[in-house]
Amino acid sequence: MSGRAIVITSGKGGVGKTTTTANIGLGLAKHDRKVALVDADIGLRNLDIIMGLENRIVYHLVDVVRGRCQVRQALVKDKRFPHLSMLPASQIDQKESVTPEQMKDVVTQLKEDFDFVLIDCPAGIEQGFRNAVAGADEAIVVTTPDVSPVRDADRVIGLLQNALGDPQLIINRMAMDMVKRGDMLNQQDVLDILAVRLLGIVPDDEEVVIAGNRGAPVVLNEHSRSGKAYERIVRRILGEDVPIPELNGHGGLMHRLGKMLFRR
Amino acid sequence: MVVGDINQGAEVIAGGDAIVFGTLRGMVHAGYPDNRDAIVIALNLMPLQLRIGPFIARADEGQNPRRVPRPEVARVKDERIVIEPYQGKL
Repeated sequence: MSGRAIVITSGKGGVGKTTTTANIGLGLAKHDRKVALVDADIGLRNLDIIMGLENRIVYHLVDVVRGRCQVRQALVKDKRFPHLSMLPASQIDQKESVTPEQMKDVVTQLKEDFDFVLIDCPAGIEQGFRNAVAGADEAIVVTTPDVSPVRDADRVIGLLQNALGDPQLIINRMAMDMVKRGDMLNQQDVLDILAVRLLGIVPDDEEVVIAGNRGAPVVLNEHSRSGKAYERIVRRILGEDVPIPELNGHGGLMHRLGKMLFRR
Repeated sequence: MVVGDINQGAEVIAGGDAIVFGTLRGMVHAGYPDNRDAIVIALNLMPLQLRIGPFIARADEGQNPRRVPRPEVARVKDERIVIEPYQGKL
């Protein structure tokens, strides 16, 4: 078996790479795919917390690279899906502890056992970024609809195109209320600048924060708007043709009720 | 011996015993690599994971933190790590 290795990156920090990695990983696992998540953010690992697996870590990526353990020993199994595993980053080493070649080796090994290998990239475009990209076949770029993350995403897309071809884009934390008032870049503004294929839009949703703090990513919550958005992204990654819906403000029942009342 | 807190994400590795005058929230490995007689004492013992020699224990999930912290000692008994209140003597 040879799986797909996808790196999730952004350039800018804090736009939701780790959250996206966790949600897509769990989403793919829900669809019965074998998934390995690799935290490439050595020294500042977070994926374990979002996944709620921090107390199960024994070995990590740097241990694997240094030959202190096998890849299989370092993988932490998810408590919800046994076919979902995470390879944690080290908390006490530097990005330079791993070379792109070593990273590629680890990812190649994982691809033999898993359908998907998702690599959570650190912020920036230095060694950590080069490591994360080294083993990947495809890339997903995450941005928020703000000016500076979009500029950083543009730069990262340029770097990725040389190595991996065109990445796909996820626009995270889209606040439709603000877009409607013209206070935020809309979907088309972002796509005009970045000119890549849109994989999905995740609405701004406080459920994401709550879920991250609880270690139970939002894709597990089928009632949340952001959870549904991630579910659609996962189905698109699996090759289904799922249309990208128009996101509208609060979108829910109240909004539609209001509209109905107004029409009468 | 550590005077102060060990927060989440921090790792302390000791060849012998580990004594923490503060709150232990991170990971401590006492008796590294295989001394099973080592102990861990902390004023407030709430680690994510605790290792003594070759043994590993991890925090129960969904366990509520105690409101009143008290000193506790962790040691190996019958091939597993047990945690008991620290009575001022070992």
